[in-house]
Amino acid sequence: MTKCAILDDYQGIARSLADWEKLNIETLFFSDHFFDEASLIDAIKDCEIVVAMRERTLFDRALLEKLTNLKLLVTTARRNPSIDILAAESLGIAVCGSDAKTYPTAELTWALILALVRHVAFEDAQMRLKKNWQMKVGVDIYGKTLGLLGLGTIGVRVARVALAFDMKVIAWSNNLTRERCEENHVEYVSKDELIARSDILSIHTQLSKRTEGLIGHNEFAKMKPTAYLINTSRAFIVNEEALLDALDRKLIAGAGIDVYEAEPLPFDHPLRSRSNTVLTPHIGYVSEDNYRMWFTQIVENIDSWLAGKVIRRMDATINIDRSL
Amino acid sequence: MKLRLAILDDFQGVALNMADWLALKDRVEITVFHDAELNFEKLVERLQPFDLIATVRERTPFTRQLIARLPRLQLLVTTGMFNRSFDLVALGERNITTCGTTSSWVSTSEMTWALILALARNVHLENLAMRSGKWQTTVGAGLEGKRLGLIGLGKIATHVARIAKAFDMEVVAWSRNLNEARCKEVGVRLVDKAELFSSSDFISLHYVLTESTRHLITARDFEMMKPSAYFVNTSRGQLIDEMALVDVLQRRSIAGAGLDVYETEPLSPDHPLLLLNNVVLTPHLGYVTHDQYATYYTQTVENIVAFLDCNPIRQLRTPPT
Repeated sequence: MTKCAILDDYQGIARSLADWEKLNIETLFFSDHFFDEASLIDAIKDCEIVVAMRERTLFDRALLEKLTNLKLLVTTARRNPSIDILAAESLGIAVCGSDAKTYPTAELTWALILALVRHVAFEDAQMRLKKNWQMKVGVDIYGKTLGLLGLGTIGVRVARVALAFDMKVIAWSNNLTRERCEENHVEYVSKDELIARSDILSIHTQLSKRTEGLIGHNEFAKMKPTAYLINTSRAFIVNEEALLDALDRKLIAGAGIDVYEAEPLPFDHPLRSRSNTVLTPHIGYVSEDNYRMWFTQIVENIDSWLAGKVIRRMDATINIDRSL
Repeated sequence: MKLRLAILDDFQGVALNMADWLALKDRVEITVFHDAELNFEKLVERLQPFDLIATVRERTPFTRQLIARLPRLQLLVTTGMFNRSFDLVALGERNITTCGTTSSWVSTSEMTWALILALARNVHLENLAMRSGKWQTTVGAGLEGKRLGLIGLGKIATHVARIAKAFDMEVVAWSRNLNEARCKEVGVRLVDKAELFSSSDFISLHYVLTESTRHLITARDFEMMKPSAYFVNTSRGQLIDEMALVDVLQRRSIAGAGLDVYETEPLSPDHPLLLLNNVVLTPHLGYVTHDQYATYYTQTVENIVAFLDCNPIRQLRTPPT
C-alpha cells in the first residue's frame, strides 16, 4: 500500500480536517518536529508521498536525494522557499501546493498589537496566578502612528484596520512607491522616518537578501522608547540579538513576535523569558479556515496524483532559502 | 490648616505622575490609597479625615450610608461625567460638590478588539505556553467573513462595528430600543435577540447598566449560542447572569469568552472563571490607558483648584435612565 507521511502536525489535527480514508493509502501522522535529518529520513524513507506544512521542514537536494522512494511532495500555499523545487523535479519528485488566505496573518498582527498595548496576556496571567487586580496602564492606539515596513497584500489589510482605528499610517520598503501608498491612504516616508516616527512598527515584507537584517542595532537606537515592534513576517528581517538588546535596555517599550530565527524556538531561548513581549509560536497562518482548506486541497492533490495527474504544481522559479 | 485630599483606588500607583499636582501643593495635603477597601467600617474610618476625595470611575461607590458617615467631605471628584455608583441625591442634600472629567470611549472599543482577537487566536494561551517551552498548541479562528453580533448600538458599539467592517466581518445588532434607521446609519443589520445569539460567531455587549437591564443576558441566551461562538463583555458585569455564562463555558457549549467586567470587582480570588482556559480575563481595563489617565488626573487637579477658588467646574450630571 502507498505510504504517506504527514509532517509537523503540531496540533495533531490533520487527520480530522479532511477525508484521508477515501485515498486508500497508509497515512503516518507526525506531530513532533524532527530536529535531526537522520531520524527524519528513518521515519519517512519508505514513503512515496510526504506532506510538509509550510516551511517547517527544510527539503534541500541532499535530503531529497536520500528519500529514494519519494514521488510526491505536497506542501501548503504556493510559495515555499524551504523546498528545493528544481532539485525535486530533476529527481522525478512532483511538488504541489495549495491556495492560502492572507487575512489570518493580518488578524494576528492586530491580536499582537492590541495584546501588547493593553497587556492582555500579562493581566490575564496576573489575575489567575497571583490574584492581582489592575497591574498596568495601557495606551490608546487612537491618533498614534502605525509604521508598516512593507505594503503588500498583508500590509494593506493591516493598514485598513489601522485607519478604522483612526491611526496615522506611514510606510516604507525598498520597492514601495508613493502611488501605492496614496491608493491605500498611507503616507510614504523614508526608512529613517519610518523608524523614528512609528509608535507601532510592524513588518510585512518578504525575506530576501535585501530585507535581511533591515532592523538592527542602529534602527532600535532610533526608535521611540515608547514604541512597539511587531513581527509576523520572517525572523531574519530583524536582527534577533539586537531585538533582545533593545528589550533589555528598554530602547523600545516591547515587542510582539510570531517568528523566530530558529523554529520551533529552542526551549531555553532568551526571548522566552522577556516580560515586555507577547510571543506566539508562528501561528500567523494557523487558523481553522486555512487548515481546513489546506488539508482538503492536500487530499485532492494526492487523490489526483494517484490518478496520474499533478495539480497545483509549485512554481519552480522560487529559490530555496536555507536560512528559513 | 491645609485641607486634606484623598486620592482613592490608585491601583497602579500612577496618579501622581499623570498630572501636575504641584498646583495644589500649598493648598492641600495629599494622601494616596492604592488598594480598594471592601470592608464598610474600615472604609469609613479611612475616609473620615478627608475634606476632598478624588476617585476613579466606579471603583468606590458613594452610597447614602457612606456619605452620612463623612461629615468633613466637601468635594467629591470622579472621572467621566456620569457615575452610577454615586448617590447624587444624598450628596446634594449634604451640599457636597461633585465634579467629573471628560472621558473617551475609544479605549473601551480598543479593549473590546484586544479581547476578540486574543480569544480568536488564543494569544494568552500561546504566550503562556511559549514561556514554558512549548510550540503551537492551538489552531485559531479567523475573523473575515464571520458574523459579529452587537448588543447595543451606542457610541462604543458603533466604533466596534467600524473596526469589524475593516476586518470584512458581517455585523448584526440588537437592543431593546434599536430601530432600522439607526442600524442603517451605522451600516449594520437589525436582528432580534434570538437571531443574534443563535447566528453570531462573536457576540459583544455594549449596554448601559440600569435597574431594568440587570441580567439582560440570561442562561437562555447563552444556550442559543453556537458551539464555535465567543462572548465578549467590556460593558458591565451585572448586565449578564455570570453564573450562567460560567456554566456554558464549563460545559464547553460555547467556544469561549473575553471578559473585562464582573458582577463583583475586584474578582474574588476563588471565582470559577479563574480556572477556565477558554476565557481571556482582564481586570476592568476598558478605560485604563495612559491617555485616559492623563486626561482624568489633569482635569481632577483643575476641578480641585476651581473648587478651592469657589468656582466649581465640570459638576456631575444625573445619569440618563
